Amino acid sequence: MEIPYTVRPRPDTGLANPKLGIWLFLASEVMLFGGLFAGYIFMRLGAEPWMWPKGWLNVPVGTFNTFVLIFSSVTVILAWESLKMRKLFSYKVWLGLTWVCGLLFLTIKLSYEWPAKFHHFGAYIQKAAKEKYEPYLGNDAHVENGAMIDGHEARKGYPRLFLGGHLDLDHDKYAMAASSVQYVAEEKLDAVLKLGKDETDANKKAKLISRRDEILNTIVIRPDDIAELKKEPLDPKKKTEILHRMNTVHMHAVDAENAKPYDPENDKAHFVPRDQIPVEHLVLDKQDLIAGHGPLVPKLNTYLACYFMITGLHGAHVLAGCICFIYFWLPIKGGSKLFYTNPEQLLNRIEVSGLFWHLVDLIWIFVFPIFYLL
Amino acid sequence: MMGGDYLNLSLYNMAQDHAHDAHGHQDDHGHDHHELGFWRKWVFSTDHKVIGMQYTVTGLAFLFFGFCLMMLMRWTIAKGGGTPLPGSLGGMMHGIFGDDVFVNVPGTEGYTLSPQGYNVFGAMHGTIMVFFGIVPIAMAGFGNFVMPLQIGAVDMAFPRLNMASFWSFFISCVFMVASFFVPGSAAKSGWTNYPPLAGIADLPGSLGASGEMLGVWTNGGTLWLLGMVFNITGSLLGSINFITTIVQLRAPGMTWGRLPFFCWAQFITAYLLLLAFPPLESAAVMNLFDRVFGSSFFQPSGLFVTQVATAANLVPQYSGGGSPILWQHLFWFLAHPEVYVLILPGIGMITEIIACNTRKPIWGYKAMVGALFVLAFLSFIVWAHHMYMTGMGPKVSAFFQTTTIMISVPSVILLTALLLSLWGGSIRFNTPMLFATAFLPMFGIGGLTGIPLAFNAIDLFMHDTYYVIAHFHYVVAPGTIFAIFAGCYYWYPKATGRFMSETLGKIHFWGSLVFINLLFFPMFLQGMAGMHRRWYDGGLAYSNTVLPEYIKMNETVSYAAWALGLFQLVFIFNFCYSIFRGKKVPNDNPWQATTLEWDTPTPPPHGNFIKPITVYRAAYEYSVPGADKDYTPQSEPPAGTPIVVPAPAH
Amino acid sequence: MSDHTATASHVADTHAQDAHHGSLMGHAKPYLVIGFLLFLFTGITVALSYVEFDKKPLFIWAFSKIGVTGFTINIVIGMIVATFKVCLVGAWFMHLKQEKMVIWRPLLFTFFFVAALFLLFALAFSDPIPTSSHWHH
Repeated sequence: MEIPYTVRPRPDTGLANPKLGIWLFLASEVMLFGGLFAGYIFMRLGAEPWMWPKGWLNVPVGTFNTFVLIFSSVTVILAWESLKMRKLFSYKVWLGLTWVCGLLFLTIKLSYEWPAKFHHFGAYIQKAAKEKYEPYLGNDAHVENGAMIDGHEARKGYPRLFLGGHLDLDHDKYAMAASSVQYVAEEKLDAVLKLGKDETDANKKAKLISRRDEILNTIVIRPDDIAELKKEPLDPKKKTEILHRMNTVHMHAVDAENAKPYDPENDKAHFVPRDQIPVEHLVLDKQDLIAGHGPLVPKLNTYLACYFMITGLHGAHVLAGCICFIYFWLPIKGGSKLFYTNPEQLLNRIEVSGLFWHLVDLIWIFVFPIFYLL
Repeated sequence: MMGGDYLNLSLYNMAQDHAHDAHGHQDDHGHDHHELGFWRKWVFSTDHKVIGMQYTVTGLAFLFFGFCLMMLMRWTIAKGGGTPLPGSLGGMMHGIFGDDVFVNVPGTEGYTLSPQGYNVFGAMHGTIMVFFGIVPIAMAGFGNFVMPLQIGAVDMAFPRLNMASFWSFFISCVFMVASFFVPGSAAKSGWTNYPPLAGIADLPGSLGASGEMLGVWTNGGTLWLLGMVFNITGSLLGSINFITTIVQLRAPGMTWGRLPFFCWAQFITAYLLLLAFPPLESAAVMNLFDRVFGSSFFQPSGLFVTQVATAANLVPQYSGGGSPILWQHLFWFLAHPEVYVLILPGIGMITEIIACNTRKPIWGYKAMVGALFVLAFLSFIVWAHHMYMTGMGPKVSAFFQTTTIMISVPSVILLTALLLSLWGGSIRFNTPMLFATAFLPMFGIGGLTGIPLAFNAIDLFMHDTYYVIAHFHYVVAPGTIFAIFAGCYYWYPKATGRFMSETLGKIHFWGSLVFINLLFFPMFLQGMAGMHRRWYDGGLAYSNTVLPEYIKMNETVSYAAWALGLFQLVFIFNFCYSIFRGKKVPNDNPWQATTLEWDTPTPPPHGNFIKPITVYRAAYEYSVPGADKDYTPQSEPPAGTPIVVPAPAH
Repeated sequence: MSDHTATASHVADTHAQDAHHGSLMGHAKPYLVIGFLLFLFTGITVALSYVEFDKKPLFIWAFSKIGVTGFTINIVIGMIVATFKVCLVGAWFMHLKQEKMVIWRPLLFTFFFVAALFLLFALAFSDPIPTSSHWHH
């Protein structure tokens, strides 16, 4: 049994099966990313202005990545042209360049762009506590002057409430992990510590104790603190100290916007993310922060959620493309060895995967400006 | 354009193509010739017929499972929450589903569905029926089995992709079934999975009824989303395959005008899935981000979760700024076309069966195909009629009311054409035809009761009442599911070589018809009286707002549901028994039908046809004046036409 | 490979053999030009995003006609450039310029439905019922 038109076009439609198949797939991909971009527009239009940051991403790096992807789109076309002319060596060179570019793109994403976010700290101050952090937020003077904040006209209803920077990691290696743990009230901690204490049934007691440990492990980060809390009797001074450590964040550098909140220079669009500016030890009380503070991950705000989701899904597509290209490039049966037995089929494969690759490029052409520039 | 020359040419090309491909990669198909082992033949098969049967059987199992969930829900609706399930049923259910779903009724030995369990069953009943029952059977099952045969193809265009799509679907089934057995049980926020409830139900770190903690990935809500992502992926792969197959693998002479209507319906349905499903996939990914990474796509600012979870840090603390309305947009962008995904394959099957059993051509074939296109196009721009309650302005709502009313026109064209097709036919009332005939008024009731709902002013009152439940169940239950039954009885002889029992079939039909109407018709009245669709105890707690006679109807409805369940056992028995003991088919074309699937041996072998197939005529040439018999198969050459013998393949 | 009959595949094959004669770069010239244009417009996008259009009277005037003000002017301009680039990729790299109707037909529907997806969300914002307070507090 043979499926017809797997390689050669059907006379009346003028198409081979894979070509129609990939275009239908691309149509569904357009709808998929259409849904994501529509979501992005919806989120952005609906966001409070101070929740939608600008200038967090490194434009030169993003531009370089755009060049890499466009270049790889050109090379895959050249690989296809070479194959059409039955030039195996040149095909291998251009296709090799294509997947190397794809991997370069991913490497830059995964080794620089994403990790940079994970090492940064961000927090939204609750409106009620904004006076306390006024020197870093700089709302009052802005409102009086009618100046801009984060690209938006400062208005009473929309104060700047974001504080970004670096944690005191030199002094406390657990700082980043501890920073994303939410505020824990003393009564809550007491209730957790009491779990299983007065239970007489040994079986139930063991269950409750393991529950207590499970909870402690998620709200207390340092092992020595956990050991201390489990001690009986518990030293009340130590407990207060640990509670304080759990419920505060110590920063030693903040973003330029927070270091000099009144400087109009800081409200201009900037090319690369500014350096962190050292500050004297700044302590944030977690009680003053909106839930979701911590590293710049999807939890922090909707901009980051969109960023990670769309670039993540796009990255997955780049990876899939690279895998296909490597497969067609390697001297194996379904890869470049096909050149000797059925070059027309190999040509189809490159055309089809090339179409997919162009779509990946095409999506990036939209992703780049909406996240990096605008 | 499709003259004799063309036929000759394409047959010749096909032969050349074979020769060429054979030359190109012998190693790829060398093993086609020897017998495949059990696993490759029945489990990891790339044969479209086996995949179709896999889909159908899995889907039928889920259909029954989803129906059982509903029968259990009907108990608390009829009797209120305080009556234990009869006999040892409650204890058994408690043993299976656990403390999260079934609770002991105080003062008795028995168990009953808890309010939370009611939400679980409600959500999973809808999800399973729509995404794991009807679509897999009507579209993937019958489409896979029948469509390539009807167009005269050897298989689907991408057999391995076909297998991948089934296994993607299968993984999604595993996720859905597994979600019943994690702490906290399965999803609870309805089949529409509306946030913010969908974001905060089953919070990781909260405790299930038995004291087990819900995991970040292993909780009902997250598993529901994972299941949906795999389900959607499977559907997308399947629909790409369907469209490519219909465009590319039609036999020589099978022009678009000769395509059986069932294939048209599958073609359009595949497009609906292809373009409507991806936005839901993106929404499901966003919702997964919300649940797993704590983002706030759908969680609004200031959301206050009162359920204080014990393990504080595991609980997503939403940053806020999201929009629950966004989910509704993306969900209904899929789910309205999905309604047509549910019904169109059914209409396709009904059309085949009516044409064959009235022994006359379908009335208005071209109009029906045109109606399909209009229906598909409009179905993409009506979605917000599910969202009138969201505070939609008059301009937007006027747009959606208009498109919604417009879409009833093509639906009525389809129904009218089928109704007129009965006129003057010498009808054979065998079991498939009984189901097909009953389909027409049932679908009519379902469709026509939808028209009032299209209007904003009425919908604001009817929204989420039993009226809506009755409306869409009339479309899909005595509508599509009757079509599925009809299809099962009709194509069973082709798949197995045996008929299903006519006597049992007729018992099944009359029982189903009577009780399905007793089940759904009272719901219209209840809905108009203001009964809400999600009341756990059937409205007892609201008896001051709903008249008692409408609450009393709950019992009638529930008894009808259980009786309907009993009659399905007849079908299950018939389906299994007839494989071994059913009456054998006298020949390959027992219904004396015209379409190509009856030109194959019974059951069709891998590769389907044992003779070269060329199509010479339209799909439904029944009772052609002057013909020697009352049907003329599509592959029968006109008298006096020289038969073209293609060049041998090897 | 030698079964030359009067079919479309035959045409493709002759093309492949003709192609042996030219040089790769000769054939690839249009793609290189498009690649260069894409590079150029990427640079232009970046540069444009630093221009303060909302301070330029001409742009303020022109965009106020379509109800666009402030930084949104930059967004609209950025999207126009991106759409232009995407059209280049689609038309030349993906060969949509000379693609058959069989491919174009589903794509046209796709474009229409994506547009519906975008526009109606926008409509939901522009037309809230007066008491609705989903977005502004």
